[in-house]
Amino acid sequence: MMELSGKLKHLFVSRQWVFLVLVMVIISIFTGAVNPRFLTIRNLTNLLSQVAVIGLLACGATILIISGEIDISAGANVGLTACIAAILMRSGMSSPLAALLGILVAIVCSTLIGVGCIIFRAPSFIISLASISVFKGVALALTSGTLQMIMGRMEYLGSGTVLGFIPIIFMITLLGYVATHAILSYTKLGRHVYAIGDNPRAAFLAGINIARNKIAFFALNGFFVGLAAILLLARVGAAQPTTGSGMELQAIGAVVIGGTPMTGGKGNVVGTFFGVLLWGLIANALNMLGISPFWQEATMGSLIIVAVAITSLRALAEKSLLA
Amino acid sequence: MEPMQPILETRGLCKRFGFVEAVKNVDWQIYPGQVTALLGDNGAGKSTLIKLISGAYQADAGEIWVRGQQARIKGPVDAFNLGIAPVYQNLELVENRNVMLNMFLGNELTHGPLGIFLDKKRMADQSSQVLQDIHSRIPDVRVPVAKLSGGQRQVVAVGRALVRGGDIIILDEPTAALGVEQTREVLRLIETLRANGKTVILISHNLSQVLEVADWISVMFHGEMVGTRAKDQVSRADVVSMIMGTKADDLAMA
Repeated sequence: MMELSGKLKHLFVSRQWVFLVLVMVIISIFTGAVNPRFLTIRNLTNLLSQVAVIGLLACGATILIISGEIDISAGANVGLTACIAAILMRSGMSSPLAALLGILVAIVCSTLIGVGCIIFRAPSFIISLASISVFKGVALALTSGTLQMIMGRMEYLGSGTVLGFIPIIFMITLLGYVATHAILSYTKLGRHVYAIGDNPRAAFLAGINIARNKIAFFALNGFFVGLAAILLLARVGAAQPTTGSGMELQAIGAVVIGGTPMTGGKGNVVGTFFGVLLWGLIANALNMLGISPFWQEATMGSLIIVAVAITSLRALAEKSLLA
Repeated sequence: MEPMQPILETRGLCKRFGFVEAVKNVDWQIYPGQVTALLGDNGAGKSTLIKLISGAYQADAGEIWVRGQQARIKGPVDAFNLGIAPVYQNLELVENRNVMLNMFLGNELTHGPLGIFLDKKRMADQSSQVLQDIHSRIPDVRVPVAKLSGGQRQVVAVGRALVRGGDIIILDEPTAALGVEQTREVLRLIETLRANGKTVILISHNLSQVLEVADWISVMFHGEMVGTRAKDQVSRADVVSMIMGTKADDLAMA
């Protein structure tokens, strides 16, 4: 019996996602009891398509945060990318080609942040903070601040489902998670993400090219940002310079809720996945419970604080369990 | 003791930091399969000299010769490729990663298309083998380094040097932070390395340990190489005075 409880304790301490799933089940039961509409397939479909975009941003954010970096311009990059893709589509370019070019723009933008950090030896927080204005400004200049509607192009992507209830965009996000997990766990690049985030000096002295690796991390982040922008454009059907603003904070919040500490070197994308789901679930449940949008916003913010508290308590528990 | 060819040699090596001459015109020979201890007071230039040899710093002047050929060491990787493997004082391990991945850090084995996937099995096998060769008592290469003792960490860091194919192992103060039993362990490790035909450079403050394991004793003082002596040809007092800089001139004549 002692051993069983010890094992259970270990499971909870070492895997944040087990804890997150438990919280999700409790919230679902409670919300379902108050509002039966919560437990319908239709609401599930809705929820999954709501988390798809944030989910992809959180993939990139997980990689960067584990490597000790951060990109707080991801939301602005989404806006710029969505606007450029929309403008290209409106000019008559085929949707897939426009989407591809849009993703390329996002990769270039994110990579430039990485290059800036290396050349100026500046923290990525500052460089990406400054980049928010640059991306927003360029998007405003390109669109003259107007809404860019794409008139039903990519609707098959934005509202299509698999098996009748899983949104296609959620399936794409899921693929993004599988890819991120594979990169982090099974590739050399992924190991370098952890090594550089944990101890950059050790990584350098072991012969790892830090600059080249960092640029690769930012390029990967850019790919996820670009893909997220295209999914958002497909789902909403229009873009403007403010599209996506604030999303980076939700994504970073989901990463932290998923148990990846901001200090780098630790964490995994499985936790992030459940962090994103929990985030979406709570937003959805608050809606279903008829809570005012103002209080919803406050609740979501508090949630991050709770998650940070749990993460640091968990680190303490882990230490005492190992000792 | 002259006939032996040095495996590693520096000729007129210099490095300055601003106005400080950290390493002054150092000529130094390291012989294969032997343990050479590098002694000196704090700030004598030991660490700088080692960093020049292992590619962490670039020399301002002078040459490094490895196995009779002049070497161009522009970075840590060049040194690794020449078989020079430093183990730094703070070990430079990645705490949250396991023993195996630390041993292969920066040198990961891969397979699959374009070699993008990690070959964890081959890394596990090779790292276990290396640890066995040095009689380590680390039971599992999948244990995170954070869970290991100070002595075991030293073993992992040395293991990394061996996995790299290093045959000139540089140990920077390997026992500085260790207890009595763990210090024994590291001294045994040094003897095992020599028995396996490795060349060892040992930087240390601890004279008793040095006299116990070293074949050669080199002393630096204020950035200069005071001299290198065979262990059985010096007394403890000689070495101490070399370190302190007294009688250094007399000794150089001897």
